[in-house]
Amino acid sequence: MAPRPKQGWFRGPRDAFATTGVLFREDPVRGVAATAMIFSDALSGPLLGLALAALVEDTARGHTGAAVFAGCCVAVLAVVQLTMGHFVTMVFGVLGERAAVATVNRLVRTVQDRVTLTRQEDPEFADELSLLEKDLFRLQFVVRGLLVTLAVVAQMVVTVVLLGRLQPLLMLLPVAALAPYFAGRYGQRIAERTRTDAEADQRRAYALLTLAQKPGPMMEIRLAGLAGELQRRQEELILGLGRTQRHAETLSALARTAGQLVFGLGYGTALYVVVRSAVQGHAGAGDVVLAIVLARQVATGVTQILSLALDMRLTGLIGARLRRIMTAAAQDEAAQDKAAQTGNGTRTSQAPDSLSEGIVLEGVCFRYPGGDRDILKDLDLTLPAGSVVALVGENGAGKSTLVKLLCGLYEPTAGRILLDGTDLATVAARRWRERTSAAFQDFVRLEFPVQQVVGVGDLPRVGDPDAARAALTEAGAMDLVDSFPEGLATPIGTSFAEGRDLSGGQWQKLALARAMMRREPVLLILDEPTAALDAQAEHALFERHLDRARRAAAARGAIALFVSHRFSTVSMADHIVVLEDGAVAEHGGHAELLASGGTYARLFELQARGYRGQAARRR
Amino acid sequence: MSSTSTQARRDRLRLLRLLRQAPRPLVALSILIQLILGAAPVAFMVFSSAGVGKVGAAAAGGTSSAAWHHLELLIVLAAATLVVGQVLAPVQQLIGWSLKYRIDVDTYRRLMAANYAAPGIAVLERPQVRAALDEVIADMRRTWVSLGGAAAAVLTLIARYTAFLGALAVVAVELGPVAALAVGAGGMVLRVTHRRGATAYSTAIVDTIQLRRRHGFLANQGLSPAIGKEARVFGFGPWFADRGSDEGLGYFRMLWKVRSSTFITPFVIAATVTALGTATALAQLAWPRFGGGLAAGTTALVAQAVLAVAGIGSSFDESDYPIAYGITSMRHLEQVEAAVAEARAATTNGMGTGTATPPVRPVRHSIRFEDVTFTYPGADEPVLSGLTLELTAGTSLAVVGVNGAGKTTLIKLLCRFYEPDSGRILADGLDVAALDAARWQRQIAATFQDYGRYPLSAADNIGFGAVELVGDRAAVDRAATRAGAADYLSTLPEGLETTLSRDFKGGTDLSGGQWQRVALARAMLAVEGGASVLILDEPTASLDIRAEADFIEGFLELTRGTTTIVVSHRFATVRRADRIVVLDGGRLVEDGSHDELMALGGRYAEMFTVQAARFAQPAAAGGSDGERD
Ligand SMILES: Nc1ncnc2c1ncn2[C@@H]1O[C@H](COP(=O)(O)OP(=O)(O)O)[C@@H](O)[C@H]1O
Ligand SMILES: Nc1ncnc2c1ncn2[C@@H]1O[C@H](COP(=O)(O)OP(=O)(O)O)[C@@H](O)[C@H]1O
Ligand SMILES: [Mg+2]
Ligand SMILES: [Mg+2]
Repeated sequence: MAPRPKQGWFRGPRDAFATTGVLFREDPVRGVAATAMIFSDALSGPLLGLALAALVEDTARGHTGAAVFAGCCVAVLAVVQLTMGHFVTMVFGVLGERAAVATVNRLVRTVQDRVTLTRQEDPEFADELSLLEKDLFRLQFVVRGLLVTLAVVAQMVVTVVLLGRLQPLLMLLPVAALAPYFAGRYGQRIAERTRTDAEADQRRAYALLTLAQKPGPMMEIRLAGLAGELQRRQEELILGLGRTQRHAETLSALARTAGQLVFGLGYGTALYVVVRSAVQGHAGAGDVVLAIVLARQVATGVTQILSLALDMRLTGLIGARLRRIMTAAAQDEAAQDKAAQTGNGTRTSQAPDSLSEGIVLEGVCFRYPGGDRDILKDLDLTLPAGSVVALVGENGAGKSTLVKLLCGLYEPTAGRILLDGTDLATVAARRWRERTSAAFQDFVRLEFPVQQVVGVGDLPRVGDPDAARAALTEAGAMDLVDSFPEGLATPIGTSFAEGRDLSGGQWQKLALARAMMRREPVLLILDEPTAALDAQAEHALFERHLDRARRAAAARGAIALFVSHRFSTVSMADHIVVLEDGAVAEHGGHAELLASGGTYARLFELQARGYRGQAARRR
Repeated sequence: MSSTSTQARRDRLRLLRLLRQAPRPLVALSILIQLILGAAPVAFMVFSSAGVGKVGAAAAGGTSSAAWHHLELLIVLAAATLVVGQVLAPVQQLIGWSLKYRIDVDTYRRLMAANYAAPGIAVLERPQVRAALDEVIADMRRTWVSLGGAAAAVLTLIARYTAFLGALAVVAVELGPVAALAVGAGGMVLRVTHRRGATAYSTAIVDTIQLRRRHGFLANQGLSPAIGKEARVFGFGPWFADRGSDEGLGYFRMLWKVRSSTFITPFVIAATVTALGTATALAQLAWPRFGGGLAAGTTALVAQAVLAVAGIGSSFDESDYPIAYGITSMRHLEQVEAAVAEARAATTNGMGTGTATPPVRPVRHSIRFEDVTFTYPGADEPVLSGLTLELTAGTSLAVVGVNGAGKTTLIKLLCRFYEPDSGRILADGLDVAALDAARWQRQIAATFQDYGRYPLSAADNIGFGAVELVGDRAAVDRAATRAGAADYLSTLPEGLETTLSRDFKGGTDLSGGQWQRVALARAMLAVEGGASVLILDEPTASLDIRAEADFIEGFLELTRGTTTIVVSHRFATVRRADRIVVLDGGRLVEDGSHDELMALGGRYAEMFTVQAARFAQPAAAGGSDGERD
């Protein structure tokens, strides 16, 4: 995780301005227009005071023409005050929404492309991201708040100068406003702390709530009669949240009340001072009206600045979160480059287009961040160039973890992965990944039209229907797609629109097709690719896959690695690696491993028993 | 237009009715404070203007005159009203929060009830219902839009209108009804425009729900670690980001169009009307023939009052949008509740309306599908058509068939998650449609392909098999052991208490196979909890060899004698069943024991051979070359 921010108070405004920058960059014209409107709105206040004073004076003196003119000015200024905020809201809506879209775009690029997978999976990073995501739609409000603060400050300067002309002592009035400001700040701190503390509980409550709409849990909850239990737990969580929040809200309300009281007394005193000086002949009735109106504006102005200054802290928080995420991304990229440069010499090594020796793992250890044990333990392994490799082993042996290391998604905690002798750490991860392709065990359910769901496996050809068809055929999913009325254009998934719902096996086939998109990978990995497929589909898939693998092997020494628990497929591999508790227990050809009578032979026998002889016991 | 505004008024009233969820004294206190908050500015105006009126006399009399003391008193009163307003504002906010919270807890309860109330799941799978439900939940999470917030916001109108009416009275008394009417109507025109705008906008928000959901989904998936691996290997992160932006901009462009048509011209017109009304009143004040010649204090009072009346045309940030959004949220929730209630009524009345449902008993003799046909809502072809199948209690049945054959659907029908279009499902001769669905569901223990991965402790994940045994550690331990999950679960940092989700501190994630065993343990616990039918939908899909063997030797043996339906593509598992059926084209195409079906040489034999060929003779396992071609 990026280092925690130093909460220097000057950080707030700086981050707030950074956030504003995010907004304005998207649409400078609207930004400037909105700013102008905000300022005219704020300045209409003191002007209104002046016009009102003139109205009272002129009416009293019987200057009808001037009084009527003053009255019209008052009316117009009043309506400006009433409606300008509305027009500002409109402009800001567009501005803020544009910025939110752009920022999400930037964030997606950052978390899916720039930071390491390790960091993306760090819970603390995830928290930060989820808080930021939740705040993004508020971007427009907080930035608007910031600008309004500035405008109100300008308004206050004018107001205070006008007041000072009436009676210099009145210029002290804003000092009384410091009390509510600090009180409010205190309240805001409490609220923010509660929000962060409660984040996990709230996430858990909503996770439980939305779980009930996921297909599996939806059914399980009914079968197990869990409704009441789940309700009880969620209720416990939200009531707990309510208690914490109530406490915070009460404290902050008390603080604000005290602050307001101090200001109110200041205001009363100011009023007294003005009237007294009027009575002593230094001012007229109009001046008193001006003072009443303006001093009240100090009150609303202060309240506004007060609440807006607090908003500004929130603005700052968004900026700070954004900054921390971007800093983390820069760090990750720098670390990558540095690793790449301190390896063989000073230049980043090229990712190989073909393999002649193969991939060698030397003493590779891996431990998940925050984990308490090594998942891969001093692993030595050679994947010969041009081979079809099967990886077998029990659940939790570390197969999927190894797969992720081979794709350059994680870096070994110790040891090296060599590609034809070049340390993978010296190769830009991005370049190496371009030379690989994979279908992961927990593949993604992308909800786009089939063309894109499959096509993203090779981005340059994402819109190429021939490429998608070839990949779908390879994955045995062309029949499925042909059965859709709209073919490749059929939207998949029902999370948000009326797309096509697929079964687990059908989803898996699409993920496989995606992995088949890249034309010339030197490493193709399929992690339990057929877990959800029927027997015939599985068999056909492997036959086609082997065919392709042989051709790729002959052309560029490509390695095809797959993870499977079915010996009907495992035995087709040239080279079989048995992983046991994070280390290689055995490796070799099928016949060889069977003959040696080790783990592999035992596992084979175990599975074979299920298919031989009279299995079904009759009663 | 008028029907829309009646509708809007009715919606507001319904929002107000939500306040019944909150304690009455709290609501009363809130109303009282709102009245004070509304009256305070009017009182201030009156006191301060009276003070202005006394300035002349006090100036003449000096600071020891009675006039000056009178003036002092007025200043103190004016200041006091202002202080009261300022001090009460935070108190009111606190009360507002309390009201909102009380009502939102109730909203949350209603959401939960909607989630769990209907025994069928078709209703929750309906796109409109799901969309509406998701909207309410999303609204709740963005705390500023909630039913509670909206109901509390309705109360804040009291303060606004109290101030309005007070000031209007001042104008009417001092300047007469014409001026009061001019400025009052002028202000109200703008007020109505604000409110209409908010309503129109929130309607637009509802109309664009699908677009917004798509945008939200893409943003969410785009930021989630779940796509992290593929995004990196295929490098599609930036592409994905751009798809999200395309969707987002598409959605917002629609909104912007609505906004520019609703919010520009009507507002310019309304603002002009308000300005004219206000100017009329003020001109009347300035003009000697109407009001002129008023004392300075009265002029000050009336001018301020006119402005306060026109102030009704300001935008009510604390209520306009919270109410408009709250109303859409409320409509969504009611839409969901209505759909769920309807579905619920349809299930419970499935058969004999009015008659009491027969008691649900464990299945003793048989389960029979009789000519069952089923089509998913919205699909054009039936998944099952005229399926007939009988299963003897105490035996096991394996269902095989290619992906999409309808195996899972068959199970869902048995569980009464859907009701057949035609045909019946009989348990011990009794139509299950006549039973109380929720009770019948408790007779079934199942692991589904999409089994739940609950972000809770391992113990809860297993305990969730049967509600009675959730806290029963001994039962949970037994189930874990039987499913072969106990060993590794005990190696977790906090053993069975470890949270199985990396989204939470101290939580951990499991591999697919480990999860599957947790799901099996859950089903095991359900059997212990009293379920008499066990359903295993592809239970070995992600199990490794030893685990599968354990499953076959252990789990299947342990549950022998329990009525079991197993769906699997692994024939080592399938052949263990007492009876095997092959499902194709919505009906059974083969039916018999393993040996019978092998002898038949049909679909089953073909599928079995594909997997078993490698094991044909124990020793004759050749290299890979023998297998190709
Ligand atoms: N993201 C992760 N964070 C922490 N531990 C993990 C993570 N993924 C897997 N593990 C742990 O690493 C071990 C190996 O998992 P995995 O590589 O998925 O096994 P396999 O694929 O062989 O079944 C398991 O004990 C699992 O709990
Ligand atoms: N909720 C659903 N809505 C619409 N169609 C569905 C739904 N669930 C499954 N289907 C469709 O019904 C067919 C049968 O699905 P399923 O019973 O899951 O097959 P199996 O379990 O045999 O693989 C498939 O074509 C699938 O796409
Ligand atoms: Mg795995
Ligand atoms: Mg299925």
